[in-house]
Amino acid sequence: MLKQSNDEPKPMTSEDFDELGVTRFFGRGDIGARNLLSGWAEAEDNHNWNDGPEAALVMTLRQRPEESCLLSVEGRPFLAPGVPRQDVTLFVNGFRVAFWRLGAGETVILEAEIEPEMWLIRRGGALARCAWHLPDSTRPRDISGVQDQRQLGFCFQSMTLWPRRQTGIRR
Amino acid sequence: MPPGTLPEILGEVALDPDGVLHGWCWSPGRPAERLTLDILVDGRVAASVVASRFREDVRDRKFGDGYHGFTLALTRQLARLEQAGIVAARERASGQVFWQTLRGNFAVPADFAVRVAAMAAGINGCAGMLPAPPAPDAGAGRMVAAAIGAAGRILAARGGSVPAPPARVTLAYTAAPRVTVILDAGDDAERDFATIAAAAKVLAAIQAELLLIDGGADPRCAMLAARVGNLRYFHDTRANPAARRNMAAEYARGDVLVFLRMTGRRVDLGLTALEEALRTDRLVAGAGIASLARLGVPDATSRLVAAPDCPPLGLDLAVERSLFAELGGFDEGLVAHNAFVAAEFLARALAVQPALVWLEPRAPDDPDADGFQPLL
Repeated sequence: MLKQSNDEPKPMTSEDFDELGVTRFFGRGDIGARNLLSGWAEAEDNHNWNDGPEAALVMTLRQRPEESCLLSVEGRPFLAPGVPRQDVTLFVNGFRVAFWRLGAGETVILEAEIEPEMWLIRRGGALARCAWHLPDSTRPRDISGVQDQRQLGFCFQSMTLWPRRQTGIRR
Repeated sequence: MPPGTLPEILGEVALDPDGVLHGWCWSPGRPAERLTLDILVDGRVAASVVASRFREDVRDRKFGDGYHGFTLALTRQLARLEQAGIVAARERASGQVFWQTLRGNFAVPADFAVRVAAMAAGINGCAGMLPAPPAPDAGAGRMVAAAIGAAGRILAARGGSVPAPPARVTLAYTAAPRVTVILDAGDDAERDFATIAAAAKVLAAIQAELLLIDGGADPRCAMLAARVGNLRYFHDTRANPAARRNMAAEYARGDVLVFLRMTGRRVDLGLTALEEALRTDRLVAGAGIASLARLGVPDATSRLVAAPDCPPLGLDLAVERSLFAELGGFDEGLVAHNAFVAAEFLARALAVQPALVWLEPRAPDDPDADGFQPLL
């Protein structure tokens, strides 16, 4: 049974907010310890793997941006014999914003435009729940002799939310 | 920054030719904080980053937990640079710029080609050649290089007239020096070089680093930084001698500061003996300095102990760095000769610490020693 709480949601503190134009890194040093919601493997030094077909993280801003932002995520797909590609779909607060088919085992930068109306106003700030759908995620144990039971699809390394004026997004 | 303290922000940055910037940044005062950096290109913020990547080398060097690295691709931002630009890294909370570099093509004056041609003609003339008109398609750099090469060949053919390259010496690098020798450059760079070269071996033996402070008496002293490996060199023609020495003391890493003046003497024997003395004494003064200080301190005689059989050294003062810092260093308000500034410091130091007096033999060619006959 779900436990109900009568406590009011706490307002966000200054440390809870992300900032436009600031690159942040996955891994134990920053994002891996702060912004991840569900579907993630244990944070490693400088990256986070997803663990399962959906991984979610949250971004928060002090206020809803007035213009489009560009979400830029650096990482590399999990490819192996029998896993020739990774399909990646990004949903932001339920909006489907981008799809990528990754077939090369090299570092890639995934970029997706987030419109102002996609942001939700919550707890005194703007919130975006990013859900990464990774249906091709595979357990290394199932395709080789290793004991790794995580279900891997994409290795997340860094993330930047660029304001429109810095990226040159055109409408 | 007081001697012995760390700067507010520590960090290293490298900008690769492909525009990838990588490095680390850490604050000793906020050791667990992931610092936010602004990367400036020509003074404007081009990118920002939270330095939180793990770097094993940073952890091994005890800079926090090692999660203070970063890497950024500045390819797009740097591509907008039309000419040269300054790329800098600034820690946001403190506003401290802790790294910067010049990136891009250097602008050249409009008459650059004319000046290069004149230079090439001058070089040709020096070598006794007829000035040759430059080839129409020759680049400026190639034209000068060709002229220098031709002049060198002619001079070499004449035999013996090609100047030998300047002598070089490399001081041993000491990661944690016990002694920092702070040497005032004199008015003859060659004499200074000879002194430093003669001292190289003993500096290594006593685990000492050498800081040369140059007030600009001889412009050739600037070349010593290139001719002497591992030399730490400070050049400031505007500061007074006390300020120059204080600045050098701030950057010293040794526990003991030894202030020497350049006398042209061999200092190797003297440094060895002084290092022995510093194992038991916190404060050692040159005889001339002690004589001056004695004039201003009534009971100085009881606090000055003469050291017998001192080899020549050109010593003004040797003092533990902690005592130097405790007394605030040299008085920069005194616009005076180094000897008077050192004597004023010694007079203050004698109030808290007896001094050993370095009774070195006076040399007739030591102008600083003239007139300062020891009164002990």
